[in-house]
This record gives sequence, C-alpha cells and structure tokens, in this order.
Amino acid sequence: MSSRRSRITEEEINELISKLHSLLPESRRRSGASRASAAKLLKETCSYIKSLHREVDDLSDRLSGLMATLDTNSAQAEIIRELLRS
Amino acid sequence: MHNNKCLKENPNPNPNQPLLAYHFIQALTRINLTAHTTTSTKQRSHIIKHAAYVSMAFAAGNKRTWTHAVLLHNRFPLKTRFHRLSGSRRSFIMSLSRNKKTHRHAHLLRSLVPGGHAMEFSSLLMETANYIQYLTAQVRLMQCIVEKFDMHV
Repeated sequence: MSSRRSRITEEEINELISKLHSLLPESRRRSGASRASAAKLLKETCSYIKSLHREVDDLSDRLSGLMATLDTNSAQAEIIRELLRS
Repeated sequence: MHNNKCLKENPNPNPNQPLLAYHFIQALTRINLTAHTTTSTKQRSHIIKHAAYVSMAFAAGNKRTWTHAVLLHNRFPLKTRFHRLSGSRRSFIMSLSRNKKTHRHAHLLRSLVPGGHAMEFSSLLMETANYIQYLTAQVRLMQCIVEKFDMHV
C-alpha cells in the first residue's frame, strides 16, 4: 500500500513538472522542492485558467461586435477565405 | 452532425490547430447565417463563447474527460451532473494532497476545469495540462480571427 502511494506521489511530481513546462509564459524554473512549489503551481494554474477564460469572454465580445457590423456576403467570403488559408 | 469526424481517436496530445480552426469557423459561419437582427450583441457574444468551448471540445477528441463534460453540458445545460467519488477513494486522494493549501487549490482547480470534480488528483493534473493547451490554442485562434476582421472592416 505504501509503495503504491509513493509511486503515485512520484507520478504526481512528474505531472507537476510537466505542467510547469506547459505553463511557459508564467513559470520561472524553480530548483527547490517540488512539494514546496506544488501549492504555488496550483495557484498559478488556477489564475492562468481564469485569465484564459476572461480572454475567451473578451474575444467573444469583440467578435460579436465585429460580426454585427459586417455585411453578410463579405463576412461569408472572409470566413471561407480564412478556412481555406488555415 | 460532425460526430463521425470528431470521435475519431486523437493520439496527438498537442492541439491540432487546423482542426480547431475548422470547427470554430464552421460554428461562426452558422451563427452568422442564423443571426437575426433582433439578436443583441451580448446574446451573440454568449453564443460565440459557447461555440468556442464546444468546437474546442470537438477538436480535442473523445478521449478526454473535460471534453465529455463540455459536450454533456452542451446537451443538457440545465442539469448539473455531479459525480461523487466513493468514500474510501476520496480519503485516499485527500491523503495524497497532504498540505491543506494544496488541497484548497486543488479544489479550486476542480471547479475551473470542466468535469474536474469527478477525477482523481493525478488525472486532474493531466486533464488540466491538456485543457490549458487547448485553451491557449483557442485563444490564439480567436485573436487571429479578430485581427483579420479588424483589418477588413
């Protein structure tokens, strides 16, 4: 039981480290104990996700405003062009 | 509708940017076609935001818990599905996050990631990583689209 627990704890630690990598815009490489920075990492993750949600909200607002001002035909043509480009 | 395409296995963990763009732009085209003059900007903004999350989940594929949670919520928006972990499992997981602070932050994280309450701690971390990847890709995509629109208006 205890060995299984320690194995999961190691996996956790690796997950935390890889998470730190994917949070690249915010993270500074911490050489300290990963457990000490675990709470910090979770906190940073939470605030990062919240800021991403806010950005999605903001971009949706802007998109909505822009779509309102566009003519139907030109908007469709633009979107189709985007699709072909990507 | 696009079920055949989306439910294929997505072995690549990194977000497939063209697929993301494809789903989202399809949704936008549909929104544009069905938009009435009476739809307020605020309403349309909500519809677009909703479409963003759904197309993100479609692009991410069927293998992730958070995509299930997003798409389920899409189909039954009024029901909140709350899966409770069984007692022994929960105590085991709580013992993993020994630090009280960590546990509090983990709880907060669970409320941020869709479907987060039903997962074990280790899978929660993996799901969060995947979710963040797709969220950043989606944000970048929306920024590109807004820029392109801005240029031509």
